[in-house]
Amino acid sequence: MMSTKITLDHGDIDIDLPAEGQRPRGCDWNESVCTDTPTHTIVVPDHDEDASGPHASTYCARHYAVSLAELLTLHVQQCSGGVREHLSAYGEISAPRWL
Amino acid sequence: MRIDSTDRSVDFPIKPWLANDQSTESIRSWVDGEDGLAPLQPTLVLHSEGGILRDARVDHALDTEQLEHFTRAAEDEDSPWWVIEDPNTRTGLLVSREHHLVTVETDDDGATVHIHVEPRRAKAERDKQRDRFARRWGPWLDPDAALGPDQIRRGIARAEEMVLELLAEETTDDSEDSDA
Ligand SMILES: [Zn+2]
Ligand SMILES: [Zn+2]
Repeated sequence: MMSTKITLDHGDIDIDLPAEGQRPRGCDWNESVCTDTPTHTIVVPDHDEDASGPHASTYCARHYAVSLAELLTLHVQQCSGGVREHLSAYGEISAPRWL
Repeated sequence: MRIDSTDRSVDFPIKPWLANDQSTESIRSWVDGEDGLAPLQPTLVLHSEGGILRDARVDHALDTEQLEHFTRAAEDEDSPWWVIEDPNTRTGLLVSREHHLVTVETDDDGATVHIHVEPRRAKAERDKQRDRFARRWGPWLDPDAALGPDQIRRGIARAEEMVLELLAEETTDDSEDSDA
């Protein structure tokens, strides 16, 4: 399987996100089949030092909004950890906002 | 308790647990929540890749030492306390039979395992939140419901606003330090 990746450099964190316009994975929403092109990303941190680093999911616009809302309302607000423990970056794939 | 997935299968021994008097006291305070603090919720999240554990997160669990030295196995199946042991991290989640509810979720075809011990009351509150979320975002979750571009833009704006709101709440919450 071929996939084209660009690497975003954020301090000491290297993270691979699919290049815009490429569809190596499609929308990561897994509650129903979605074949829309991913435009947005949600990057969650790893909790372990020797693990591979933050994990990026990519979503179409619709599933990005609902996934982010779900993470925040159904998890973060009820968890002992704060926002940064659950979210490293969010926004458009081409310009994610890092926390 | 055995969790099988396409990726791997893990056995989490569940044992009746007997605390010494001293640890019972301190444990009771985390279960009930004292001095206006919310009850602690022991949580274990494991991520594996290709059958290999990549990432583990444990909150409010008994560590290896506590498991080995301060606890002994209860004979009694009716013991009010049970421990779910995790062989991966060598920690244990303490469960009160009376007050707790244990939720086990797997995701990513079983590559992620999430075990959560919470007070029954907290579970009821979470169910309420879940209902509220489903009502608010119902159409977004329904693959047959079409959403217009404006609606989607507003949804993104609302979700992203929540990130900033929660961050702002946290900054006002912790007065000690900020690393902005
Ligand atoms: Zn989608
Ligand atoms: Zn959490």
